[in-house]
Amino acid sequence: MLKPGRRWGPFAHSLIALTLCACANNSSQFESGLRDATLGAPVLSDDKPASQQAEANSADVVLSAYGISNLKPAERPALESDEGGLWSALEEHERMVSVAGNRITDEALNGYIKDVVCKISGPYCPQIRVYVLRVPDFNANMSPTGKMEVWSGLLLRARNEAEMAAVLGHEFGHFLRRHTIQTQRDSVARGNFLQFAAVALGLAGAPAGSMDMMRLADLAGRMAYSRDHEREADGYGLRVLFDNGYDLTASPALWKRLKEERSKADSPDHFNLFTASHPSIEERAEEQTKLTERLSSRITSPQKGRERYLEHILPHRAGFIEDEIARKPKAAALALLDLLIEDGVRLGELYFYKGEVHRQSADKKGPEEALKWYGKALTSEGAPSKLHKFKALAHLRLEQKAQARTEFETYLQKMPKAPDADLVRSQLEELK
Amino acid sequence: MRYAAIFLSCLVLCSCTYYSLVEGRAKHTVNDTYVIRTESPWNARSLGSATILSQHGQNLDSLIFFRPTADGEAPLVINTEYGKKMPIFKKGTSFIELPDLMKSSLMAAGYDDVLIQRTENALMDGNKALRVDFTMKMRAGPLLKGFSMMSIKKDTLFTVMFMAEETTYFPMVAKDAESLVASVSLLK
Repeated sequence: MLKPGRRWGPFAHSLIALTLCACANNSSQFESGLRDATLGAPVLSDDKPASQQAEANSADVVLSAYGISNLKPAERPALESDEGGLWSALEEHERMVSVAGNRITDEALNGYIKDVVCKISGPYCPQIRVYVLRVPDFNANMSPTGKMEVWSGLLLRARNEAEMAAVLGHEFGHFLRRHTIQTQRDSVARGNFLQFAAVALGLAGAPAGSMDMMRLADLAGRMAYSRDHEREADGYGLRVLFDNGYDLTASPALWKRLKEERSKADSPDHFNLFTASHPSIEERAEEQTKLTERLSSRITSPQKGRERYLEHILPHRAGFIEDEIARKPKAAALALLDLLIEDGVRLGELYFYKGEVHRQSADKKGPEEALKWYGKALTSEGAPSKLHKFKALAHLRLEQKAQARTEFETYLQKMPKAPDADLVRSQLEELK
Repeated sequence: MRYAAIFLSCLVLCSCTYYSLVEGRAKHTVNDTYVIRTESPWNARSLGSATILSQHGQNLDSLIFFRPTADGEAPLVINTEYGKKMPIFKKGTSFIELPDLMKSSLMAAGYDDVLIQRTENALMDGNKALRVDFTMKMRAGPLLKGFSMMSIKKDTLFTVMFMAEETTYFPMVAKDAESLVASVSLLK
């Protein structure tokens, strides 16, 4: 005969544990003045009847969802508050960033990026401090204190000012909504709840594994909360593009390219419910496309700002690419270079670096492949003079001494004062 | 029981002390590969496969003796976490390739703005060597200035590298480092 009490006991305990966890996940961690009711809910509704969809999904709905009038970021909290402690830690981190060895101090580039940040942040501009850093990864970040980091990997991948502004606007969204303090409070509340639940489950005689299940559900809840913040920040990114007359298609275009780069680099974006702090790239691109469709009709002449952008980024691009090549696997470096080549700016430089990826690889066919790309670079605009030295090195690897000598000589003609000129001369002596 | 506890405590304390004194005006063997003569005292520690000597602390000045690098191995490897993207030393590598091998290795190890200032032919224990002077930046630290001495013997790369904070510590320690590097002889 079935004994429901025993047979269903563990299941019931687990169910209670999960329910408790769900309650914790729903706890409100927002302050008045911050938009809280719709966090994570889709701004556009696809499930309404066709007759009501146009109204439900109008540009006004989108704009009001990402309103900024009632937000008060960057107001210094009392030191004894939890936010005050967070500010102290973040200010200490900012002090380190301000003297970091990888900080780019070029005035023209910093001035330009600060101008764009001021444009999108409007009245909050004086509260924002921008740090441009050489980090070969696609990212930027912003803290509630007003510190914004812009990484070289983002500057290299964005094709115009609108694309860069979309990402900076996203970070500005985190700042506006004070997501960092929200996350900290959520984390503390979840931790407290788990402690209470552990005691309660122990007293109730819950079976082994109940607590593990709760921890797993808690982790999923934390990540879901983080993803909601990212979705909200994406919305703000689009909002600031709209307010400043930028081309709204910039944002989905950037996400689509990032997805393409990752899949070509053999590191596709696998979504994991328990570890993903950001929504999947597909979701972001799709959502941004939908929102863009609603808002685009309101912008009469959308701006991309491509010329301005290239004028400031191109002087630094070679260094940014070298960082990527030095620190990324071959497939990732090639995937990035292919996308830059697709954009078609200063192709000689890009073909040269593609050759460099092959020459530096451990592949046996590396030197031959490199020579193909060096050749292509020399017939395109923007090939650097140092190419001849690397071409000579590839010939040396293939034991083609005569060709190597010719390339070394060309290198010395073009760069007679290069730091390794003496070394090249002694190499030429050996080749004679 | 009491002696066992004292012995254990000593063992624990010893394991905490990872720097050892390298006395001045003496001969020493480093990494079972390099024989050096010191003029001043240094502090030594092992890190990964390298041995580091320093006078004022590893982040301010360090003289690094890398393990000999054979064909297909990554040179300049200290921390294994950088190992997967480190460039490889290949048999038949010529001296003219060494500055770029060094630069890309340092970049892969996380240094920024690595600039080669000068290259010069030199000797290491009577073998042909290359001296490369460079500057670079640490992510969370000061501008570094340094030089490396690289030699290839029997298809194996030997590297000794000195780097120090540019303005204060390089001028203070470089002279000692130069004389120590000049004294290197190879056991292998």
